[in-house]
Amino acid sequence: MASTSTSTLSRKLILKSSDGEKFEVDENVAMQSQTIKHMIEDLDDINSPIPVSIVTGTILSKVIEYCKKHATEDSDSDEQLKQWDKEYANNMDLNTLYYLLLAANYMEIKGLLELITQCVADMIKGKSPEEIRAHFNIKNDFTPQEEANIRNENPWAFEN
Amino acid sequence: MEADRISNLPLDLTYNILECLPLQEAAKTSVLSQHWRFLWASIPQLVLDESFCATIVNGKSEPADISLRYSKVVNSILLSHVGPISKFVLFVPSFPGERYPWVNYVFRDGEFYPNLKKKLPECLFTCSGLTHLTLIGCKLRSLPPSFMGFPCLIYFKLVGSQELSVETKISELVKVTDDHPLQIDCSFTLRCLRKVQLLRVSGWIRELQLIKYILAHSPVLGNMTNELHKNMEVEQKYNFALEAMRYCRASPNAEIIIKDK
Repeated sequence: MASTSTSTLSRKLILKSSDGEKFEVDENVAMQSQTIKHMIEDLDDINSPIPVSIVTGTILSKVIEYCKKHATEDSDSDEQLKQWDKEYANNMDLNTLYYLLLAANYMEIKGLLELITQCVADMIKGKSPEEIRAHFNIKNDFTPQEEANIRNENPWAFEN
Repeated sequence: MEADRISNLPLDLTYNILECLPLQEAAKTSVLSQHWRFLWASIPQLVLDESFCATIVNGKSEPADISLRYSKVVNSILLSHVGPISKFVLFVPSFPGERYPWVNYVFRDGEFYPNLKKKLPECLFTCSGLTHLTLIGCKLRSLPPSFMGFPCLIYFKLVGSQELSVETKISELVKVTDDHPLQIDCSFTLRCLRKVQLLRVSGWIRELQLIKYILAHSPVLGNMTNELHKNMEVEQKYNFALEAMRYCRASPNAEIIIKDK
């Protein structure tokens, strides 16, 4: 078998989304995902596309954007990287955040998972229950009496 | 109108989000909808730390008020918690002459059970699923005979109280090794423990017993840091170091670090 001398260069991998979109990425970018890392260890032919079965192309492109940034960490300071993370997460709508969270969980990308989790937590922080419901479109299925009872169970949670 | 995504997340991701929130904010989610009703009360990481205490006693200045209010809240949280706990942090404020009952519940395999005993740490010793345990300002007692170990515990941190314990006496140090010579115990009740931090150690007999126990029962211990209380006298520090160095270590790699502040 002819071997190409690519040992020092990063190999390319092809990731295939659930809706069939293909992305060519450097191996070190894809390796940010533990799931993919484990998949390529078992793979004979790395030229065939790797299916990322529950992630759509739109979301996968966002995931890759994150992984690319974090694969080349030497160019940025920690501070710059944090700033980049913040802007990256702030530019997402709720729908995208939801699917990104599922994707990061499935693909086991720890940094991305923590980033999005914190971002969602920050949306809850400092809001009243009414504001949280409105923000996330949560339907209140309690009667006013039930709601009052819950508040009375843990009054310390609803003060100040 | 957009769909309610956050209520449809897998349970572990929901826990992750709630664990990023101060406990008070997490508890607030109980009122959002039926789905959220008990989620906050089953998070595996229960952090009742100094900042939590501060938000609970906000505005109160009398030690008696603070103590009573905080202990009531902690007790009600422990009572409402369901399911296993992997990380538990508890801050106990201490005031001179305090006479209020503290946490009155035991937990077994992560479930809490009411208990009539007044002091805290004993009740902890039956919780076998813990991986991270931090206790701040709690009063140590001797290990209960029923203690079966923390087979999953990886990290343990203990912060002693601000005041130097009045019970610290040099003579007490000598007694520790004599009361029952402890050898390396093959039951390895702390078989995953890797890191131990004991802060504000004052050389109290219970602390030495604890150190001795941990060293003898932790086969993979990497390091144990003992940070000595700033008010300890030189002789006390010296005796403490002498004593701690004598104990058998189940882990060949265990490093004992004694820090003098």
